[in-house]
Amino acid sequence: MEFRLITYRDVFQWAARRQDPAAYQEHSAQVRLSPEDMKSLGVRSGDTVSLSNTGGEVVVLARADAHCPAGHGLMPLSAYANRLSGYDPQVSPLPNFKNIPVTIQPTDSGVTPLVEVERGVLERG
Amino acid sequence: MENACLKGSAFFRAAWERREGTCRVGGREASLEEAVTAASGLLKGARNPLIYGLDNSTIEAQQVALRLARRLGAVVDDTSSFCQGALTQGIITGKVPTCTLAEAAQLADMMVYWGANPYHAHPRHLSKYTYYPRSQYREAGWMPDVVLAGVDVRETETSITCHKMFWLSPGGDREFIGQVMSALAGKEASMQAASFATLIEEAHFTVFFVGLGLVYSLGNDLDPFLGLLTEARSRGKAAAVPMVGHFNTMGFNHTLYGDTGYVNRVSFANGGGPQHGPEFSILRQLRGGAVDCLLVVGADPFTSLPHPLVSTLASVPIICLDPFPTPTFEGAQVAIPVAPSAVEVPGTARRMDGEVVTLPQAQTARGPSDGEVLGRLLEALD
Repeated sequence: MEFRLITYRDVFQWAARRQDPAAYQEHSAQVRLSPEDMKSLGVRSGDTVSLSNTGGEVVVLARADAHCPAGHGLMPLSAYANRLSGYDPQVSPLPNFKNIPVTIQPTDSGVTPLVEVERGVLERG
Repeated sequence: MENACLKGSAFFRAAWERREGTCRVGGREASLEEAVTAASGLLKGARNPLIYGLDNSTIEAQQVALRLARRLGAVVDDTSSFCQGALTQGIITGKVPTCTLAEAAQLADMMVYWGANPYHAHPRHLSKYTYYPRSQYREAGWMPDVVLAGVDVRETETSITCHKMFWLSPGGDREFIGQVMSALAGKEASMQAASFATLIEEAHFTVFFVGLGLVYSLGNDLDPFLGLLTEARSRGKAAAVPMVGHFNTMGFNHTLYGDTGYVNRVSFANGGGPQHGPEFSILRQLRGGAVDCLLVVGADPFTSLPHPLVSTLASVPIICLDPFPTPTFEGAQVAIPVAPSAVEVPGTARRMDGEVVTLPQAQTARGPSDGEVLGRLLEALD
């Protein structure tokens, strides 16, 4: 299913980033979806879902959020979300952090480890 | 540690517990002298160096960085170029009315968090300036004389706290503003917009705390919001305060403005006067492959920029000054650990409202400050 991701700040993720990589991953590798969209995807809170677009793919946990607008996913701003974000000055002078097109699918794969996301960054591509 | 918020306590704890890092050049441990020599060599050999970051540095370090940028003929930019820079430029140039946080707390009778969630981004903002403080003329917080309103696309801890919430569809800010303007003009408007317009009309002093939700929804074209701000001012006092993310972004903007007349996206290339424009944003510079040496100071572009832009850095030498081992620091050709500002490095900074605050030294510095390293780079170029 096609969605639009909206990134946001999470203080608990921010606080964990320097000292607790496991907690940082836990707070970062998640996407909040409306209960209706969760049902359409056939997933429940805590299931893994694949988020992909032309920029790449990450696997994160799905969380039900009754206040999430339908057709959208809410995701903390992190290396996970940035793997999917883009920038095209012909479209907007700003990077796309608030309206990221992604395909979300259920998956049996585990959450993409933070080290793997960061390794992808360190390899710069 | 007492009285620190979750972000503050995490920052101080990380600073106190950090290991005293060693410099690295090309992945190998090096002395500070070797690292400075290697970094200055990279900068000397670069035709189009870019200095990026500095929002977590003191004003004093920022001033040194600008001297270095001039000396190098470099481009200099910070996160404000894709965050609050447009609003900040308007405020610093006097085109957009603003106020201090103290004025907001003491005098405002309507405060609006628009596309912002200070509960997570600025945890003390609510308690110090908007929700709990008692104003000079009226009681604030849960007392109904001061209206705390919010505009957002999702429920947050902040929206639950607000007395009045206005819910928008993602990207619906421009349309909502248009509806509010219609209501203020006495024309037909949605019920929600009419309700918002009534709050503005009844307020003596409205303060808009502008979050990135609004900036991004408007695609950095703030004219509709500024039109609404003007309308609000025609009915009473009104001001805007950007909810900037880093502790001294405003310091960088003021420092660069004082030096060049611009708050970000400046090039000192070609030996002439400073040039300014969107083409000098780090985004456009990276996308166009223009950068041939990147000096990063207290920022982590590897994890904060869109991945396609990071990919363009594959063959670009990076020099990174940071207290913490971020992915950018780990991937840099020259990595120099520096003492954290506001913990080990004293100095001054500017808050989101532009007020200068003094940063006392909380503990003895373990290692050089970023300003000292930047100064050594400057000396090494002579």
